Amino acid sequence: MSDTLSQTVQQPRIATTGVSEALVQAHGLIKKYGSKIVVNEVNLEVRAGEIFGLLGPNGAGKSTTIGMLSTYLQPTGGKVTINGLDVHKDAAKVKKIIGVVPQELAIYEENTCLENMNFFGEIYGMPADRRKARIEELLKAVGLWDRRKEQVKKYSGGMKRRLNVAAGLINDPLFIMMDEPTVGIDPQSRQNIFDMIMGLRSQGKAVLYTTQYMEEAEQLCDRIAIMDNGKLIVQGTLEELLARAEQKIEVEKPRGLSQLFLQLTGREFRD
Amino acid sequence: MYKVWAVVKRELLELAKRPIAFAWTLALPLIMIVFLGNILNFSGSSSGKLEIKLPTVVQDDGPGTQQFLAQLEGVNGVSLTIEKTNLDDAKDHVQTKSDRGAYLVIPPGFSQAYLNHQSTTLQVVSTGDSSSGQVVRQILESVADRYNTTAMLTTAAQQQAQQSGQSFDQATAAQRAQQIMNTAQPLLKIDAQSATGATFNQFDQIAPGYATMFVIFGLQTVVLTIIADRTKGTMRRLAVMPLPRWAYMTGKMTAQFIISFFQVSIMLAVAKFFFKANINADNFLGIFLMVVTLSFAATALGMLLVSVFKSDKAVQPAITLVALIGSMVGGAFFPLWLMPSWIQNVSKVFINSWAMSGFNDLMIFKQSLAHVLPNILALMAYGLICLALATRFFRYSDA
Repeated sequence: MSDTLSQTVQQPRIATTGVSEALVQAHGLIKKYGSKIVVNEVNLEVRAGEIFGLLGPNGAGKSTTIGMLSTYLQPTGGKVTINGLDVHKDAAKVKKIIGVVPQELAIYEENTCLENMNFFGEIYGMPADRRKARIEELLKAVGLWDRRKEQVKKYSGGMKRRLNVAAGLINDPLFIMMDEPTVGIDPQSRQNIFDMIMGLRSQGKAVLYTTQYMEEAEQLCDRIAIMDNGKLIVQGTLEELLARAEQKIEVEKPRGLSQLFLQLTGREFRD
Repeated sequence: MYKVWAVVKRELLELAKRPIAFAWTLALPLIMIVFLGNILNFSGSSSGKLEIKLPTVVQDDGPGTQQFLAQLEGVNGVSLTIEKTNLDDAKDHVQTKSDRGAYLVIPPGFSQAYLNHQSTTLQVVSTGDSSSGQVVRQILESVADRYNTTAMLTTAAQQQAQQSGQSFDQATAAQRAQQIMNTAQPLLKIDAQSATGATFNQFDQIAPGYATMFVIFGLQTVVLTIIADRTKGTMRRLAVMPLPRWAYMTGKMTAQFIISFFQVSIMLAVAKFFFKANINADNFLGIFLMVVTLSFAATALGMLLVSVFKSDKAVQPAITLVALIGSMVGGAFFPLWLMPSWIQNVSKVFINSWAMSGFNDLMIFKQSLAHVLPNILALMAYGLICLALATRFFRYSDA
């Protein structure tokens, strides 16, 4: 791992509430496909130096929300600003300051790791020397530097996931959206990605993190929002969410985020 | 433009990682060109012999006319069938139905004039853009040249006899002159499928035919990477990066264009250097422009197909269908001018037809660049229309 990133890994979380101004603001975000409302009046803020967890069962609207925050989808209603820029009116500028780590392994498996990183860097118009330095920093951070000249298809699942994360950070973004970046990987790779994410927080980046693993959210996220059927049901710090649930006498006191999640979203299958 | 180049470079790098697959896309058509070129040896096979039916209005059916028509039907390498008919019917075939390229009118008094080596005029009427019409004209000119030479030889012999006071039998002299003509090396050769004297080579037909077919099959190279971008999420990733839709499409198109251009060029180069296909300084510019516009039109067609069909399961059969049907009716398997006129008309919806008639005119009928400009413009227009439709339907993001 690079010096910049490794030094920050073990640092404590920044106390976020009320500390920094929101880098990302979404107000009344709506997405409809025909008559079907996929995202319904979502309001959220992500601050600089914060990891914001967006949780929800399958089909809750998490990926659609990320699609709208990342300029990919046009909202049916509402507004999103990132660093003061309107995501859809200033999309070209916004694209330069955001990074997206998609759920899919959105990398070119026939190309080498280095070719992938160079390609993504070129898309951002990074000068060769800056690109080279950034690629080295990132690939060392995710432990792929020594195997950078290998075709990605020869990589293990964990290596591909780490490259997927590194590619999303090539432009040194202010706001990073990570859509389930640790699906199906080994504990070592997962820890490496966690270290990366915590390093980003320490650098003052804003991170939106979605996951199906509650323990990941508990471990990583400063604030958490739970989404279901297109709506944000609750949001706050883990402690706030648990305390709020405790006050509701009609439900059993949740012993952790996982139990709270099931209480809020139910036990029915969503596939 | 550096973003476009980044997309192009990545595509080509990816292709370079699969050298065997790429080599195979070149090797397969080359194998077919060589294999079929040797099977369909046009000079010795009836299947490859140019067959032309010539409506002929005979207004004098004397022995001279019979001799002349027999000469026409006996031209080497071309199977020319005389269809005796009336003027209205001949016009109907050539001008209305367009199922014959030309008709011939043999005027009254032709037979006597022909036998006595007197001046007479034959009328041949053809449509300007018909390849078989051009062949008929060339055949007639060559037979007329041969006849004129015979007549001149006879006249020279007669004058020589008169000067030396010897008796002269014109019929015997003409017969002798004819014998000399028959045994002498003809000055103007009529070789298979060519009426201009140049050697026709079956690779002039087969090489561009298969190049045209495989350039459409080859569209899968980049089309499938676009499908993969869609299904694997890389397109979504690129769409949220500062890579505009136009840059993505242009990059993909440029990569495919480069691949298609080299694919066709390599096939034609092999045909030229190993099989003596008729590519030379005279037609090089025309062929180069045909290859460029063919590659452009094919690439744009690929972009249209990938814009309409979203998955590999849909796009691959679509490409195969377009390539095979286009090749069948567009002159890749059989020379276009041998097809019935309705197929020739239908074939104009396919790239192959425009490309093949252009290549045929340049390589077989030795036409000029100006003659194939309509083909070049048609391929350009074809590409632009496909590109406009692709731009309309291509989905990059929902924003």
